Amino acid sequence: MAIISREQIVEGLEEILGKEQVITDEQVLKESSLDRYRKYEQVCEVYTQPIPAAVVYVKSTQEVADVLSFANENEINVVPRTGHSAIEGGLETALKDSIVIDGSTMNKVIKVDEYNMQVTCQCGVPLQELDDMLRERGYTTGHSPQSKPLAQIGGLVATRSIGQFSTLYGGIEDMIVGMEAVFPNGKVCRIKNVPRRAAGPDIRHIICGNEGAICFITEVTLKLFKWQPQNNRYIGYKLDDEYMKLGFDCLREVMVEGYKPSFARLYDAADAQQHFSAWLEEGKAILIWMAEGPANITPAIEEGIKGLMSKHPELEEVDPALIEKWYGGLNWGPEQIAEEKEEILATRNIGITTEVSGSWDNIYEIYKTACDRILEEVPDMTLMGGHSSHSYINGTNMYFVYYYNVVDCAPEEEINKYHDRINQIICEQVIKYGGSIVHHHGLGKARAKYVTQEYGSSYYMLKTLKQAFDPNGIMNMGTLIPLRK
Amino acid sequence: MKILGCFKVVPDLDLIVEEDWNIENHLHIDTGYAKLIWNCFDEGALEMMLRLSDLSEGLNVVYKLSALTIGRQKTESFLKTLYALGFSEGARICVEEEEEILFSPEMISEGIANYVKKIEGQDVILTGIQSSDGNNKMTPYLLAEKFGWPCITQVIGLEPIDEEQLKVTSQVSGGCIVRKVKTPCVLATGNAPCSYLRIPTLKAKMKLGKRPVTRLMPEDMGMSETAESVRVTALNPINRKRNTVVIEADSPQEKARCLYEKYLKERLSEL
Amino acid sequence: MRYHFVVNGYADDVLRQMEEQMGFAQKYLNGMEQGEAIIYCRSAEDVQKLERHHSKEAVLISAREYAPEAVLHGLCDRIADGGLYIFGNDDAGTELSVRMAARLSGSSVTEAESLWLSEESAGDGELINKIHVMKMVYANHMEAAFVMEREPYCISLARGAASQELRMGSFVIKEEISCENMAEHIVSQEFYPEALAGGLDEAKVILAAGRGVKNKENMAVIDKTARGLKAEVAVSRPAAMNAWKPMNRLIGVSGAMVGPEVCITAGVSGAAAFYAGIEKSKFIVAINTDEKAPIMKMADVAIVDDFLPIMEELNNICK
Repeated sequence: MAIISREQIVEGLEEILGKEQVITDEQVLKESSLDRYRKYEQVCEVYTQPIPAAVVYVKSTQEVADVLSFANENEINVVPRTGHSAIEGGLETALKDSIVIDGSTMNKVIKVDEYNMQVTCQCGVPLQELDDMLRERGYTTGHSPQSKPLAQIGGLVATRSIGQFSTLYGGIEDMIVGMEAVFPNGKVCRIKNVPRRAAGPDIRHIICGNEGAICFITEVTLKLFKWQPQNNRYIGYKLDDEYMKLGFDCLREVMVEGYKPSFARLYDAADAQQHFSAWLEEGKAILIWMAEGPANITPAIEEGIKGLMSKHPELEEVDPALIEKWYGGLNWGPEQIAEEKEEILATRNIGITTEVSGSWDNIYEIYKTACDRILEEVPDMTLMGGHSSHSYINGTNMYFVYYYNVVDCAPEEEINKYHDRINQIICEQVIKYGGSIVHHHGLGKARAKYVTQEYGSSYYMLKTLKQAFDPNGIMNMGTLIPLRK
Repeated sequence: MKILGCFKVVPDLDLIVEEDWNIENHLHIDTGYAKLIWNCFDEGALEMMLRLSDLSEGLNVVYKLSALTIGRQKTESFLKTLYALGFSEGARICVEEEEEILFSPEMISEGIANYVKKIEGQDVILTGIQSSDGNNKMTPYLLAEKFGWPCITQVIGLEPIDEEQLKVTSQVSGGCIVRKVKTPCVLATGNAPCSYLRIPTLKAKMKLGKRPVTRLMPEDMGMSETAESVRVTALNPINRKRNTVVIEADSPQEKARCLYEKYLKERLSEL
Repeated sequence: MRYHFVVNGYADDVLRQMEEQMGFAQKYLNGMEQGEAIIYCRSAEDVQKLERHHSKEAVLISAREYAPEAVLHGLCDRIADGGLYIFGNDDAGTELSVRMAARLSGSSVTEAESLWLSEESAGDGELINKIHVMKMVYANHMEAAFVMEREPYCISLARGAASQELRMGSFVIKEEISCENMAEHIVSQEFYPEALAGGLDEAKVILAAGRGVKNKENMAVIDKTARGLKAEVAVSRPAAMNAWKPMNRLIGVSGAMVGPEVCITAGVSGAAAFYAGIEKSKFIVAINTDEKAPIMKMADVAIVDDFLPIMEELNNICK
């Protein structure tokens, strides 16, 4: 922990950045001590984490390097941040007198290279603005996570984000080309932009997914894709909830037969009612796909999927217009978050998600046993369900969705009584059946405690990376590698 | 005391896609795909009833809470939620077409009135002040007239007194009025501070939510012969885009002067 | 057909309600004959004190406390003929218009935006007038036209309609109907005034600063200009997170949702969460160095420039 005082930290930062970029307002500091993992504490405005010494806004790679060097010399914990949409505790300031380095002020799109189909931008470019701008030109990043209205490029790369259209475009790891990042000693590294390389290990993946625990990402180059929404096709089927196993098999069939829809989703009945209650009967699960791409491809995908599904008498086709309109009306952003806050305060009912992945042969067991255990072991549950929303040739993800009433429990106790307990059950079931406990939100601090079980013998590599790049232990401590108690 | 909460289940209008607001020559919008939610004022009314019941604990007054909705089959899950929260009666007047109850406050109030007259007598009827889709703002007032009961509007709070009286807080310009009111009466709920309905646990749903909902037909509730005295004749989209004028000038000072002279001066002087 | 204004003499904003009734009549009821106004109020004295009128004669329905049942009693007793009754834009106006129409077998529309007449032939070849009213529906997403089928036609007005200056001088009071002690269901009542909300919610002019303002010192320039414009200062979330203003000045979905006459934004990019907070503004000015900032398309007037010299100049002009 820091070898200089809180006041000295602030003075030092002000010397580097000037007073204007160093924020010490109490409310700002409090709000910067956590993320949406502690959603209940956040809405109740109860702050249990150490309050950072300062939030600093950086304007250039050099400023990042200077602040990191200062922190490194004085052993001050640093939490890198851009859009502040993290939900697994990655942005919690776990150590006393931390510095939050906010990159949202580095928000320039540096180059749109339409010939080489790539775009270079600074870490603070909001994904929504970037993709809207690209769409006006007929392109897209292909990246569309639910956090799109809030998230910024640096954070998306740092957490190995994935978007709704991943089945076609892949996760962010498939979209990144080159990057620039700053390491704790102030060293700036640029990885050049080339279509592929085989010159040793792919070191981009030291940066991508580092969750701010190894370096600070300052610049990213992403691939571009043509945007042609006019060709989109939607396909939907409903099935009884008891056929969820068949639902996973349907997702698998489409992948195995070689189709590339842009999204492929299976909602269980409980989760489906949150989206399709207007027309979907209670007790029905739903399968949906969207095909995206050139005009002669999407009808072929649609036809292919329908051909495969026609062999299952348990499925009943749904009017694709209902799926298309649902999709068109999907919106989530600051407005919804603000409304959710009011709702949580009024009802003391809170909804949370946990995302994991599994192979085709264990995903159903993970889903079923985790849901059953939670309903059995956790009190006051009001909804337990989930959906699969990202499929691969060899497996898929499960996005658990759960709501509960916070009953007879102080805000600071909620995390122990409910959220961590549910998280633990899910992680235990995933590890038992052989999946991954994190699909796309990052380990953060919430799931770092399961890191050795997740990694097994390969934990050696992760730990060595952390020690090599961050020997003084200043980068987002508690994230990836749990703090020793 | 018997209290009836009348509520409407409405589509979440935030989920309606842009093109559906831009249709012409229709007398209703296709909202069939949007998630169903409690009409916000009705939700506040139902929560207020539950809080009233909570407050009566230990007092010498018992509230029997009932709920009535008019709408399609999908609305029954909302009634079952109310069962799980402790409502003792739930009824639905079965109208399957959304547009039939959109601009039909006279028909709606006739249905509610007949439910109270023929099926379950009540001491108090609560409704929201208006629905988010029809925006008619008439049903509670029409009910008051049908029964010859007094009505209090913009109600934001209820407290128990005894079997014949309620303490009713309502919002008025500049503050609020707290009244002791004799029943029977109609209460129209406004912006209640408790605008969200509590959520039943899955266990409560399993235990209490399985009871069947009473289904009633509109023709038995006198709704078929009710003719509206006001008819909708057209529905027009609204254009919200602002046609931005960009002020061009050589210097920022000139731009500021232009802004003031052309756009601000008159507007500011009117205030 | 004749039209009558029905006025809420209990309301603090009675003059504004009357101005909007006048405005409505001038815009939509041209050529229609005006009948006496009906004013429900505490006393004749209160009505005299207004020193303004919008119809020559008035009938008063008086009681110390407002109770809709008492007013309705007086109102419905008094009305013999059909005609058009125009109520004010408050809750009382809405409730009374609906209940009066129900009691007299007429028809009512609440929160009317506009009105027009059409001529239709009745069965015997005679021409009759039909009243059509326009109002907002689907939570302000659409506008609907309604035809009213039965007399008397009772409408209440939508909020924020165009107003028309009232004539000086008092109403000639034709008659006063006392409706004391008609609200038997009320055992007791007490009024609790609310502390004035003030600040952003009530502001007529708002000057909103965003991240583009850059620092706290520049905020002082915003403050100065706001004083000149008699505007309230507000900030977007990034500016609040920079602690340039306290959180209670925050506009947007996590702060205040405002609808002033004029909203000037300086250095605001126009994120959806912020814009939702100012969407109801009557007139929006955007000042931003980036012509591509989203706010520039969502404003009525935009200036592509640094906000500082603009603010300084506006301040000079206001002096």
